[in-house]
Amino acid sequence: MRISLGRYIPGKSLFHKADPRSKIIWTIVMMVFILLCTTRWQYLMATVFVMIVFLISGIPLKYILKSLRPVAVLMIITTVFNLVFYKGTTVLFAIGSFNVYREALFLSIKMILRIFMLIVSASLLTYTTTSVAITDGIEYLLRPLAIIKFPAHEIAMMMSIALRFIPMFADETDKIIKAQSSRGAEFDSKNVFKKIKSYVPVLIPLFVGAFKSAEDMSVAMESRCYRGGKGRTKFKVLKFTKYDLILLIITAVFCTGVILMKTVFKI
Amino acid sequence: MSIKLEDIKYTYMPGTPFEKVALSDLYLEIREGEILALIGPTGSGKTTLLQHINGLLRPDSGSVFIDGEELTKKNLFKIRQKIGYVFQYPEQQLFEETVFKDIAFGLNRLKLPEDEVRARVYDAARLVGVSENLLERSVFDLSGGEKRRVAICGVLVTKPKYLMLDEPASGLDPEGKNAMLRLLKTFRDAGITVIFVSHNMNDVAETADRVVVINDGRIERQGTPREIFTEHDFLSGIGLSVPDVTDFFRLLSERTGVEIPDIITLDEGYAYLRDVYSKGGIPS
Repeated sequence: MRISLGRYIPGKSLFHKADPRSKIIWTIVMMVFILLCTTRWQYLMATVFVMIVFLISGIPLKYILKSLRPVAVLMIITTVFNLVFYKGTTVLFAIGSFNVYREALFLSIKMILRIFMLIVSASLLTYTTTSVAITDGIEYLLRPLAIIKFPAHEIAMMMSIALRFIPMFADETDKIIKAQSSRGAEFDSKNVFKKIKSYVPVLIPLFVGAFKSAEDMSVAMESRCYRGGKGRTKFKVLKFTKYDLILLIITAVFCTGVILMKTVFKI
Repeated sequence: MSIKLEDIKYTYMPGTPFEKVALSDLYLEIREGEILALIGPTGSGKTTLLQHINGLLRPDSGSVFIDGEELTKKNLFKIRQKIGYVFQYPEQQLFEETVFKDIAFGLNRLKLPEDEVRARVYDAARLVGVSENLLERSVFDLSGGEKRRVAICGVLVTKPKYLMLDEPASGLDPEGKNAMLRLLKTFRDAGITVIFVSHNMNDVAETADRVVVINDGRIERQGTPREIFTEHDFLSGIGLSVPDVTDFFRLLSERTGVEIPDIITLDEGYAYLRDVYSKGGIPS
């Protein structure tokens, strides 16, 4: 069992070098504006911008496709429903008694593009940024909320611990499954109940181990005098560099473009 | 009959930036009735090699033969009954309510009659030295050493012909460690071929019949402990060492200029010193 979705892939691209804060802003702005797109020209522009950043990031296409796999089913089902049930004015062709309309086709393409771009922009962030950097960036961006007593540091710390533990649990699960199957456990039963039951020998050691490592971790943190975010300094101080400027300019151009298209040009 | 690995090649996560060749051009024969020690620096592929022998990992190319039968997807379950595999820190895999149930877990799939299950659990417990009054206790009440013994029982209960152990003595106190090493010899004397991984050269020299040195996914040397542990420079070159007693006598020989034969176990060291004293001490 290996988790590849959203895993950091080391690289030296401009996008890798940019500050996590500006990348998070880029991702959020991108997602919001992708959802605001309505016409085909707006979609085209969004696609072009996502593609530009994708090309800059140097992440192999294979990984992007891999991150799309979980939603592929959803995409196919919505497409089929759209094509079959959406009623438009121009009939493109007919399957049996169902008419497929031109509008339905466009709607489906838009829908697919929208999901595609949302996932690509989110996964570009996780592929090019370590989880530590992401949580660091989130903590920084949430800092202003401290005025309303929002525990930004604590939330970021919980997130980074959780993210840190995910690959560990994946490895641990893998190891326990191997160990139990060497002892004669069976995991490939076709019967659902038997299958669930067969995972008991995996889950119990996993939970026992998880509680133990959580306890160890809290002891380790306390013995290093961890007491929350107050007065805590950073080993890696986040810096705003020219890469961030480039990225934010690209983002700004894109936003202005969409806004202009929606208000002035009306295309 | 033996285990044979022929031209095994295995790569972790091929086609990704995390790609790593774990094993390449690997040939190995494990003879019946021996205690074979696998040594090598961290990340050299020792565990990967063990996982190929019982089919947890499938080689990218090459084949594994168990008693002349090639390991395939189909005979996996049959072959795994022949090959017991005790993982590193096996005590972490215990999960049942009682020690007895945990030891018997490996037999669930075989659908044996109840008295046969009972007999096998008691046999395994006796062989490993788990006392009978522990059998009805909860596995989570035991001490670390006891848990490890119980976990080993859980593997032995299927009566494997070959037993692989990944660092069986790590994390045990000196008493538990010595008992574990004696246990490996007990297994061999009971007719089980033992394959174990260790980082402790003293343990290897005291216990193994044959040693295989693995580095960077390749077998660099194989031979008796004496053959391996006389190659001091080679071993330290790949980040391994020789047993402490060998080091001691090598240094003694260098400092005093006296020829001392290669000594790899404590018993040999005592014998040599007794011999020297009986002849009136080291000549100066």
